[in-house]
Amino acid sequence: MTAALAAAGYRADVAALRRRRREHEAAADPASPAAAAEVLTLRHREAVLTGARPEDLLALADQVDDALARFPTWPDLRLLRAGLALAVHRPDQARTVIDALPGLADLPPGRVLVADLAQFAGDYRAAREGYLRAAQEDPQWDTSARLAALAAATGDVAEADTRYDEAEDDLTVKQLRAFAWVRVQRGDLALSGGDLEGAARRYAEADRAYPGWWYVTARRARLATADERPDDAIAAYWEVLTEVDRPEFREGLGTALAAAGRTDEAAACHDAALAAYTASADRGETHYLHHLAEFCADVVPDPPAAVAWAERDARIRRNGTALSLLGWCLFRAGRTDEARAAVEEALALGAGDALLLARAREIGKEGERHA
Amino acid sequence: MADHNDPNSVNSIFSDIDISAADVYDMFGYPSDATDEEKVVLALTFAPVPETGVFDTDMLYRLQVNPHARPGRPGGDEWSLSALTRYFDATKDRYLGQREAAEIRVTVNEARMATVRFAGFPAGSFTVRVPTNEVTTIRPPSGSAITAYLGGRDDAFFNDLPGFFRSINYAPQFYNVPHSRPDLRELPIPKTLLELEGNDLFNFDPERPRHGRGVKYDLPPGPYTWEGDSYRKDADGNFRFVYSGEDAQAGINVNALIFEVPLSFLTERPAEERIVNVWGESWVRKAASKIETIPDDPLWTENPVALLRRRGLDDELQHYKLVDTVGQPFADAALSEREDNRQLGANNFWLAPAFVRRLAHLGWGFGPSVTALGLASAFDHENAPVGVHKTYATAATAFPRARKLIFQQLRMPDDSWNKNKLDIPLRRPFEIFIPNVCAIDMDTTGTWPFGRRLEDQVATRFLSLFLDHDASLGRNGYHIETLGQQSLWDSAPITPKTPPNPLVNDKPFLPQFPYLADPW
Repeated sequence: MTAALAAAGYRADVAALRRRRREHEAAADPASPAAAAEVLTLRHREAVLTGARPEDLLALADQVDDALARFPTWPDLRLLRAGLALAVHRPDQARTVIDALPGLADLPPGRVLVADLAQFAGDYRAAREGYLRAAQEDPQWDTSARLAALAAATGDVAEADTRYDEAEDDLTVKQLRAFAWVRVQRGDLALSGGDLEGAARRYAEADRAYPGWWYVTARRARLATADERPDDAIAAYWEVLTEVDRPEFREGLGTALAAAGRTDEAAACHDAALAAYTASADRGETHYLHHLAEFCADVVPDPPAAVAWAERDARIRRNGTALSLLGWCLFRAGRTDEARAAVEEALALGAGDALLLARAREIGKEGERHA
Repeated sequence: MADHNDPNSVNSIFSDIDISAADVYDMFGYPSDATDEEKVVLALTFAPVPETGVFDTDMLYRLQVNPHARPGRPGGDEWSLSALTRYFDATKDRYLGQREAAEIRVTVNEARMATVRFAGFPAGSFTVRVPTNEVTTIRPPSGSAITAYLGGRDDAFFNDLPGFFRSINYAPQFYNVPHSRPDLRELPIPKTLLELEGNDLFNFDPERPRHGRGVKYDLPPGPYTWEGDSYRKDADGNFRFVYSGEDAQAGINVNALIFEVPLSFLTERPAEERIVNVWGESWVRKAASKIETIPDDPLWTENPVALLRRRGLDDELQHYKLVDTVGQPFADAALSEREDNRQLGANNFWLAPAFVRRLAHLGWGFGPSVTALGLASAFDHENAPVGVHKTYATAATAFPRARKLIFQQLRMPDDSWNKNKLDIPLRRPFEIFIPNVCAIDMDTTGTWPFGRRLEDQVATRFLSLFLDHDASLGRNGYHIETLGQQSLWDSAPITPKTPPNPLVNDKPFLPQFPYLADPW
């Protein structure tokens, strides 16, 4: 990222990135794997920056597949493809792509991806070892951020903070997009621990560092909902939706509208979100399964459906997050013993995030009542 | 660009990363020719970003200065690893004991005014604001004036950089290397001064004459090793030189901080403290400084020396991140393998074992080339007929081969360097590169390795490390300029018949301050 890109905030950044991507597309030698990787990497950056819509990522994955068919041994393309697969919850694809090139998993970026896969699969110990080794071989801010996220997922908030400090300490004013991203993660960590003020401060700092990014606004919208400020949440979600139309933001808007007593509008938003989630699942995609489970558990309750979606999600990624959600859906369906078993399985993996612990307490209390 | 240890995060060789103002190029330092008072010229050059004469306002540059008396010859004539270790330990203790080096610190604002802070000098600490791209006079609270120029200049480094990269088989100069494959940068092919038969990845190809000189191709699939057993020769039996003698820096500008400073400003004891150590650093503002918070010290065990330094940072520096350092030309590029986490600057003592291993690795490559040319090699390569790619896990195993390379005195072509005709010992490689500072001897002309003058062809002088400076050669024997003599190449079985690097800069240096030529 250049100074000019980062310093002016989101809009200037996107404009510069698009300009650069077009320049590379125009100059790219179709016979060059390096050029293909560069163009596709720029498209990926742009897609993520401007919304990270799953449909965009899936379309890009197809383009990378085409490039890989021509240049199967170019490792940058394989890493890009594996990252895209993981982003849309297809660890099987990610693993296949990595395994197809011997030695890729032993390179620092490959090691990070393999650790991502381990975390995705709930093997937190392997994930930690992989990140630490990659950090030792090739220290990067994003590896520190991954270690922070892993620490948060396993309940070590103090280490998460330390690792985020490390990540931030490595970032300069030439990387304000990345810095804002880290601040958002720290805001999320604060929010998950019930520290709404801390979360608000982190999000505000992210916005100050890199103004105008929908990603930050979406977090502020969620925070406003949690803080029972539905009008603020509604305004923020509308702002996000003008930039990025994703069903989870429609769902968030619907929830805020419902909290504001605007039930018809809320229902319309929720219907739209559910339709999009369901259409995705019908296409055989897996990235919205957990949204469906959460939606059916808490937004428009349909406990049996919630359990079904959560079970499908947990078949793909049997990690703390998925098991926590499955336990919660089972609990909502009145299947308390199974719920307890699910969260205990999550805890046995080493998961320990704030949401899991809260759910475990709730489920445990209910279990005691019935004992 | 003599300092090739540009951290990969700012290294413009890699195509997805823009050139950065943090990429420091060269540190020059030598006694001024001024006759009114003893002065020293200091010049730090770096990438002209955002453009020549315009500074990146997020950058902070430091020139650290540490004068001391000329040390006695360490360890006598004992050429052992333990003597070397004792030297490093003693120097480290002395050096780290003086970590509070004085410094000149420069930032530039949007209005193109520079803030120059002088700290820790005998005259005290003070701050001045000066315009950029003008020669200005700075008056300290006491003592004589300092002359300064902060702005764009012609790059004072003249060098066949592609030739150097060809000699070490450095792929990113010639190929688009996958970003995820840092292991494919310096390929496991013997280092060499003479092209290797069948080394198709790096040998000069008349069909692609600009390959590596601005033209890059995608890195072909391997193998990336070399299985040959001889140097490449043409029909006349001539070797092919990996160098061309072309100035790859011709027509290139830099931004520079140039000072001409009275020695009495740098030290209270100018008569005794005759060695002025100087090194340069680039720092870039941290992202956190944008929102005026600084994270706590990270849990960082990789690099305790750097962490130690971090903890000693003042309020301003805590808002910045150290990115690049420069002291000795080629100290990093040739000897530290270009790793980001080795940006230690003067405190590079922990690299001492790596220095020994790397010199031996280079010796196995360059030593046989030297011998093949009929010259005497300082490296014990057991008469290997061609370069060998060999790496060492420990300094102890590498040391016996590299002993002479490390300990030999580097002879000068004549006595003109010793302007005061004092009993000054010739410098030896281990003293030159560790610590990684430009050590200016005020009783010399300051020509490398007694400092670094603008006109010094340091790239060629660096190669002279691999010559046996005790062997006889013609009337004058071997010295640091041997490989820069056209007559040597005229009689060598090689093409092209040229010294490895250009002999003079593309633009003449100026006889008066700021000495570096005007920018293009």
